[in-house]
Amino acid sequence: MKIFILKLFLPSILMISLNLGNTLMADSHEVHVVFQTGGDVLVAREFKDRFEKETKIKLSIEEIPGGNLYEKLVTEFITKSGAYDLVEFYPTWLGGFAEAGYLEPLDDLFEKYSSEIDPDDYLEGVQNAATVWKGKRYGIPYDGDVLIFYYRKDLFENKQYKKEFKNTYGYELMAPDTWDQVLDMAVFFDGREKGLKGIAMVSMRLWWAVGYWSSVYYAYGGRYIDENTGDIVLNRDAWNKANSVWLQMIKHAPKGVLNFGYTESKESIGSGKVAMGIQWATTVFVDPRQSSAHDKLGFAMMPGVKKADGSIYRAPPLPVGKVLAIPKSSSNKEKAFKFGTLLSSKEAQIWATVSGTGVDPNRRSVFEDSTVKGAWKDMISVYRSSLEIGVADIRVPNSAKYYDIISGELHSVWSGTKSSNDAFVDTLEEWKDL
Amino acid sequence: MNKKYIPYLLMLPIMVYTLLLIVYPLLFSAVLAFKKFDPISGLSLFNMKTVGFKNFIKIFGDNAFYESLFNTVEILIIGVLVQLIFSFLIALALNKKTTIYTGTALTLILTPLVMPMVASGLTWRMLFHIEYGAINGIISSLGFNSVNFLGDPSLVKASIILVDTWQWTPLMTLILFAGLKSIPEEIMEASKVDGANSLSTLLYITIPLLRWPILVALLIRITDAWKMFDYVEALTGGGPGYSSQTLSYYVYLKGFRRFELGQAASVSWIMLIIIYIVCLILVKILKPKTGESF
Repeated sequence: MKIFILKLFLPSILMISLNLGNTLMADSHEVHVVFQTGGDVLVAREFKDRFEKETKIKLSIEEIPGGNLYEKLVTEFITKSGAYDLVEFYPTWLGGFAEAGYLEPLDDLFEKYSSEIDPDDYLEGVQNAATVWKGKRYGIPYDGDVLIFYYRKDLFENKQYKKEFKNTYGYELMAPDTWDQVLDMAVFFDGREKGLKGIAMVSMRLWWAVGYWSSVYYAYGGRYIDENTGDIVLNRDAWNKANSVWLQMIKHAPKGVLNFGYTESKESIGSGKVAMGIQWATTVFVDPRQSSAHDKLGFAMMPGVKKADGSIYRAPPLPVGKVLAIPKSSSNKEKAFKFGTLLSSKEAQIWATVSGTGVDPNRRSVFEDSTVKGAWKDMISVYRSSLEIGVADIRVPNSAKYYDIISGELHSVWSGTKSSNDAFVDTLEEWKDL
Repeated sequence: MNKKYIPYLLMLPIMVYTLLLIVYPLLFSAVLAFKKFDPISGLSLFNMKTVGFKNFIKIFGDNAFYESLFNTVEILIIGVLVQLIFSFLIALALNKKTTIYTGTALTLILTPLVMPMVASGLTWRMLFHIEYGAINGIISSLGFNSVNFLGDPSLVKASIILVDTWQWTPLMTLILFAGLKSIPEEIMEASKVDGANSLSTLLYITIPLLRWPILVALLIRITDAWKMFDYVEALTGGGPGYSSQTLSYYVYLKGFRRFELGQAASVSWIMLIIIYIVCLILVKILKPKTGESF
């Protein structure tokens, strides 16, 4: 009987022991880093071997699809398993994570390795500020995202089109300064050439699609939450105006724009199928390998709204971006920090920019680098200016909840199932409830 | 060892499994439904604040819940009915005459079943694509305007039903085909001798004798469709707006996007109670009386 029982349970015991052994072995000398799937992870992969060789620290890199990043990270943080040593995420979550005590403050490590990191080299402004919460630094700046405006230079410089446009609208056809002009131009170009549509932008039901829409909302003076007081400051007038502009844009966008994520929007702009587009500033569009319209595209700062004194008020959003942070539960904090700062170094940022990964720089020295200037071409000045005046995502705790609610409500407006005003009221009510 | 302990010992693994993976999560979620989860204090139920029925009150006051419920019911009723009709017709056709091709046909029909639901959803998302999708390619080549299957609120549920039907009609077909095969030849022959035509044989012999298989097929598909998540995630993300958001997707958003775990647990329990009642009614209606079953 004893032999029978032993036979019954022995395989299970062996399996469990083997698994336990593997887990312990893996934990003892590996730094486990987590990145969003896509271009972001390429920098980590590129610098992995060098880091392992120089430091004798073994790295394992895990990729998580962007749509599942939040749930995976929060689940890990709540269970405190210590499985992750360095994590990449969007700055919008930093306040909530820091407030909940999930992240390790990095001030001491930044001070210790200050000469190697050169923190003063990071551009001042929101990208850098996004790594700080209530006076403490929790993140390493990684990807400097900002939205800019793209247009088909060849169409905008076409003499016949310029003449026709001026005759119709009474002003010159050029990169638009205001959202009203964007609408005129979207109407003008929609169908003017075979397969050509007016404008493309991300309009899927996604949290960061709200950032795209915020290009208009911010310009009309709208904001979401006062970071200092935590008060909701939703602006009904700006909300309705922005939705009115967005709905007009949808009419002149490619079919199916309500399902446009980054890939679809990038494809429309990069292949020249639209006269205009809203998208992150990225070398992807000047890279002949990735954009067939690379020599036709012009770049401008996000349009705005004309003020009484005739000046234009612009407020380009800084949706998404990325920071690297270290979970409190990590047992390899310093090792993880070293790898994180390597990925945020001048060298890594230059490599990321020139290689077309979509991970964009935020160090002054990188902007001055000749290879980067060559890669960004005309876009570099637009990118840098936008980065300096950009408006950050919601950063207060519960930001993911705020975005989940507003993205659903806005999508109801864009798909015609709810009025803009009703969506405003519902969003406000639900936000207050949080 | 005393022989009387052996049965208990043999039952031990399944008992442990049931307690750990079924009973414990059920009890945990039942208590969680009356708690407010706080990310700082973690997952211990003892550290969570008890909020009574507040989670249920919040859910019943949320428009998105009713929209999700309506969408789920609509997709379930239309989808399962269509699948039942199709599968019944296919099973009858397969049963009509067994040839050397019957096995091949059945294998081909069953192919969608082996695909993971997420993979099916992503494949269909590409097929439905308004610009590059094969379906719209065919529609455009016939001279019609392309159809916005996943971006039009009036079409999106039909598109999900189509994918669900494509993947799950084979399962119902398999169950009904097995049911048809189990009907004794003598009964069919006796009905012919009594002068019954094809229609009356179908209505008074075949369908009544298929009540068990139909009940099983319906129960499997209704419970499955009730918790539909994969297609919604892969095809639409619940959009446009909330027009394709199902209850399971609503639970996911509450639980893993907003981490309102108490509310997510309360919706899960509401879902469980509703589907339990529906299944009981269905069994009551369709269950053959004693002596009718095979």
